[in-house]
Amino acid sequence: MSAPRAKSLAARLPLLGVLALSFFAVSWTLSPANGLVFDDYTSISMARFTSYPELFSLWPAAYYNDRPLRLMLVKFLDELFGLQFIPYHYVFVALHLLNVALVYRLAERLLAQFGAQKPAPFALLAAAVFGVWPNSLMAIAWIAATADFLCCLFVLLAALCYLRAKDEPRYRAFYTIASLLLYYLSLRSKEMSLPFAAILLVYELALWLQKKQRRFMSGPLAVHLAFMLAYAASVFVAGGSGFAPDNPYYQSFSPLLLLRNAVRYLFIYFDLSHSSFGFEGYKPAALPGIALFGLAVLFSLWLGLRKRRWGAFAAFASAAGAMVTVLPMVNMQHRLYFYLPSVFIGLFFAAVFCELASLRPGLSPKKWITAAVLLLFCANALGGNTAFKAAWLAQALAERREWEALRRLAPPEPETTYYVEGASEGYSIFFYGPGNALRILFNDASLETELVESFPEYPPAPYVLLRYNAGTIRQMARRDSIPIGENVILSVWPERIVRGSEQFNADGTLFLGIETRYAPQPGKVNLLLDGQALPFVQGEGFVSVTVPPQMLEDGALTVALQDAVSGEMGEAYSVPVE
Amino acid sequence: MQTAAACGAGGERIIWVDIARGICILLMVAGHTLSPFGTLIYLFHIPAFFILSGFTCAGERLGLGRYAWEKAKRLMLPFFAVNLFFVLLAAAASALGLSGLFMAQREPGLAARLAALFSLYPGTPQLGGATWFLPVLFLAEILYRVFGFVCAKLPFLRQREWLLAFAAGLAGQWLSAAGLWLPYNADLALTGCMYLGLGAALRRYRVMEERIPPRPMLASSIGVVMFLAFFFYRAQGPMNWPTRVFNPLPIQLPAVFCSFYLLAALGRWLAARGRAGAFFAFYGRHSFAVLAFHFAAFRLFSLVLVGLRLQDQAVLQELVPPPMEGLWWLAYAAFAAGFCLLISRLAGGFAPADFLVNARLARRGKKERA
Repeated sequence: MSAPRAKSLAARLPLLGVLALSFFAVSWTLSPANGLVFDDYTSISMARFTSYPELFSLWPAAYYNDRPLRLMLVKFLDELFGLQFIPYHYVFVALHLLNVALVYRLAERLLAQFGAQKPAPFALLAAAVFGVWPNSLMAIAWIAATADFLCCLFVLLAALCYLRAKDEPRYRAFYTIASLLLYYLSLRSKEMSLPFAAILLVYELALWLQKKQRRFMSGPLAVHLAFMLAYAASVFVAGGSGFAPDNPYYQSFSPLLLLRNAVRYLFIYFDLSHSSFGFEGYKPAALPGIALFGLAVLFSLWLGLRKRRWGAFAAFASAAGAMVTVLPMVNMQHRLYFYLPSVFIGLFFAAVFCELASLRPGLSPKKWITAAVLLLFCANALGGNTAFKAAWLAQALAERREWEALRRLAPPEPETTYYVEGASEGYSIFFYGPGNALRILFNDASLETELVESFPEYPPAPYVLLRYNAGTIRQMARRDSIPIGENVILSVWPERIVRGSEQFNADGTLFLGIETRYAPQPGKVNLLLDGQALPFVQGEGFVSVTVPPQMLEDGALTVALQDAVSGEMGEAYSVPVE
Repeated sequence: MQTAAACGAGGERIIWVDIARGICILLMVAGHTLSPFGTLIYLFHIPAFFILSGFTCAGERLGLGRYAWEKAKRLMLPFFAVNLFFVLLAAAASALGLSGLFMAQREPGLAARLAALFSLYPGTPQLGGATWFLPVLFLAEILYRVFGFVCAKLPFLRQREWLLAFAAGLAGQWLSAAGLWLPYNADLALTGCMYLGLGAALRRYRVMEERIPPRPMLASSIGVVMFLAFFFYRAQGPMNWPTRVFNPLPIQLPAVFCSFYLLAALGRWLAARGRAGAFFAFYGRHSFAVLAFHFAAFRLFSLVLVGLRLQDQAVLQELVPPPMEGLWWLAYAAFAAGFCLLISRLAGGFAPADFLVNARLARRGKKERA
């Protein structure tokens, strides 16, 4: 190996080390026990049964959760891997490692811009905080959460392009356009990246205050800010924010609540005993991390005010800015939302450490950074995180058992309705949709599912009756079709037709309501009046038909059902006409 | 077909432009054979022709009237000539009682055909179906020249005719979305003008040579094109100009630009590859022959297959090859390409044929390249 190549490899080893640790931090998601959980069924169902052009919309149509790129990625993976879910997680892990590498690259450039002589070791710290700290890595485990690391990927690429536009004037227009496009793609992945342009402003301000550049506003920045404002305006105009106060997504902009939520997020992020999705309380295990963070914030503020070195504080402001879109959610503080902000948290700690090292030349950054990275990794083995992983895998396993139970069912006829008894309370595999799990399992969007307290007496065919009980699923009955002879006409209204009465419409026609034991399905069952098939309309528990006047001249009207395929006739029902 | 010689500033040929044009025209043929790469082809090939025409735009020094006449000689005269030829061919086939073999339904008479060809909404004979492009290109180029004339008079718009062209494109897209078809496909010409302007701007500002970093652009273009062609638009074609089916402009523009960038990169690469480049460059310089006669070539190949009892006679009535398994689409495309190459070469020695097949006008002992 030549000397430059050996040197290059040696220079890359630390990054490879961080990548390896990042891999091990998320490798548990590759376990065969990990699979579909919660709204994964909805994500895959929506993605599979909708075409790419239908999934994609250029501009947001709703205030929240309008994320077409998320579904497009799920669709792409579904087309590649179908219901083999382990490859999905390999893709997620690969994307996470790519993001880690991008964070390193971004940190290296930013730290250099703010005056770091040798930014590489500190950039490793930023990458490690992002890639290894377990409390911000929930997105990797969850198919429905592809929005988070997709959004992060585009934000990182956008940031790098923005920096390149500044560094390479020749390609300024290209990189500015690329940055804007990537910013747009991040927004169509998840709206959480909306403050990105404001973060760029913070960065430019910090450079300007540190006298690293003559002005903070530039064409590319103005374009990004204008786009951010336009997009924000359109999101709010799109509406859909009418959540009830007890809804998890209910939002309030009260400053006290925002502050409260910010504190809660701090506790979630630094709580080494944190084992669930959301806020668990103000636990002591978070205090060391919060204290360290608080000291770092104060230090960065001091650096800015006393030393006019604003890089670290800008990173803190960026981290806060990245959380802005989730702070207003009153009833939900979720560890899932840390994936993107942890980029800036990592940058913050890296910047703080870099400044410390510059103030204390005797400090050996490499040793301390190595120790810090290893400590970050060790957090993965602590009680909170292991409990989280165990709970997640247990949930996935439980849903896998229900999934396997569904797989043992025979494939249904198209348009089958599943009536599931015992699943209307609490969570089960049928919850989302309901019945999206069945749709994707049998690859049939026409399947319907109803969660019932008890089975209906005469459901229309085709139907399947399932009984759900604490994770076990039993098929109680299945009918793909109802013999016409069984589908009895129970009653007809009006029971007697009186010519010239108010029963008739102005044009001489008559609406006839027919109650049958099983709801007849158009296309499978014909409704015959005096031997002639007439179109009918499904109502609630009955069908209605419009009878033309010429059919009402005889003394009686005969109503009958006929199997549309075999032509077999059911028992006739006679309605007297007077 | 060439709107102008693919010339650089000093009059030298830009070989990669010829190659790119050749690739596009062969892709057009492949696209008409229902090849499995249809979505990829339809993502960009028609806009690419306009961009290449804009890239090689010349004649700014000509007055508007003279410019229009030169374009009419190069585009409209050949358009009418070749379609007149097909009309007469169809009339001859009818007279010989062969129409039933080649036409699915009763075809209009000679007078009706001629009237259709010269109407406000020109109806070309079946075999000349692809020549709709020529009047559209003609109109687009005239319009662009008008924009140049206007911009030359307005200081704040000087040398920014591409801006007006973009506005024209927006109007064209709106008309298409609204289902408003203008006479002579002028609505398509508006959209074409936009791409013409793009090509001119690429040339004027040396965008691809100096303003775009090659590696990132290549990588991202490959990603964008592959995703759009093989996933996003897999179930439906992205664009169909004659039927005014366009994908949304925010998707259309990046798709076309990325595809064109790859095409240009491929053209430049082939330009350094000797024979391979020469092969495509030849087709680029004789694209009219391919445009005008490839449907006829398909019919001929179908006739061969019918003769060999490999196809049913009904296939002779189809404009495009029928769906067939395997690589038959490639056989059709290769036959059409070879047939057009042959007639292009053969016609070169006889002026009237050269005009009909290659759209070349002989001018007092000196061949004028169309």
